[in-house]
Amino acid sequence: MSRQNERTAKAPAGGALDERRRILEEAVERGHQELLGRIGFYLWRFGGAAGREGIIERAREVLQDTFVTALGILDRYDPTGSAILWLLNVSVIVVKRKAREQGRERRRLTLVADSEQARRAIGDGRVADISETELFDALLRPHAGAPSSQSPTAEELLSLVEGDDRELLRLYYLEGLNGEELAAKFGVSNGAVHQRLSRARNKVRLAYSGEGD
Amino acid sequence: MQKDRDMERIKARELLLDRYVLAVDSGDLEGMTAALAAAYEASREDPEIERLIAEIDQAYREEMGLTPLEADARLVRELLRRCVPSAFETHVQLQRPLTVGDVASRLLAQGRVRPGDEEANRALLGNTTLLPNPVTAPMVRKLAADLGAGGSDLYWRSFRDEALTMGISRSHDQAQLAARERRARRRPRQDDKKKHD
Repeated sequence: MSRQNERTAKAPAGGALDERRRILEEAVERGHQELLGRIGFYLWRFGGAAGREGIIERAREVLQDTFVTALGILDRYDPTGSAILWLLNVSVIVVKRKAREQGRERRRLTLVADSEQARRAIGDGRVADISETELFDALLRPHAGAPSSQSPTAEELLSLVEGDDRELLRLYYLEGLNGEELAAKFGVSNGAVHQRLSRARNKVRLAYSGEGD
Repeated sequence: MQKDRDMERIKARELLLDRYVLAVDSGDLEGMTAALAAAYEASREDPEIERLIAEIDQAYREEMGLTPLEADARLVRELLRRCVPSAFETHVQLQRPLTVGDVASRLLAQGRVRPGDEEANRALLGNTTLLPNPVTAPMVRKLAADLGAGGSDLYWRSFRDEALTMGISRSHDQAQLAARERRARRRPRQDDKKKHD
């Protein structure tokens, strides 16, 4: 929902809005359980909900507000994008609004190492000095060699992490196992594999920049 | 060339996932908002993004002990019925006369309730009083008085407009549903006819 797209796009005609509404209604009908669960997760993680009962009730409220809000801004929904992701975007806006209304501060946890550098890096939106291109080029093309003498190799990057993180990255990038194969090997879900891969990559970034020390 | 494009797509996808996971792990709501917005934009070109983010969210829920809330899904469906009734209309429901609660729900779902009228509208949600027939302005004023409901004049004008619209729409939906049912009844007979030709 980029603001530039909103400014340049013409307002859709009534029929187009009806179609968008229908798509969102179908998405809610099919995915209401998933939406409730994911909104509950966001509230647990960011909204300071204390117990399970608190989450359930608040998730219902957020879901109701999400429906109302989403239907009020139908012109911003592009049907070529995922309806569920759009609704989750709206739900996060609702969660933030409710958090502001309740005057809660965002909880912030540090990643990897409890360091001021890590917090600054996250706040700046910059994770590490290694560029995204260098990181992925090294991991996705491990046998191509480093493109320059300053760029790290896949082995160098893997050496920055230990244990399961290193093994996971090695199996995925160097051995070529896919998500399902890794899930079977480690006895976890596909989602857990991708979650752990992301965490491992983030650890590599921090370690490479020296900010995880 | 295709391999390069695939690599670029994988790179962009993994970067997006990393930013999402980083934001959630660090409790960064703003970062998570930005990553989710980026995921929605990316989903236009890469449908896999939705599945991957959903799987990661599921992993988080399992990690935090927030298993699927099946029992609550039933409550959510009831919530939906109140806010988005058109998603659930069946033949029986289309024949049911419209109520005050139906109109109040629709006004709420459409975001047409002004701040000062929210309490009045909320009080009418679930109200089973049938709408007057015809839905004239004097009849709606009498209805408001009988219900003892608050609400501004503008609210009740919107109420009447929506009641009229829903009435027309329902007639149209009834006709469409009847036509679909007629077609469905004809189809087996036509299939039988083709078999024997």
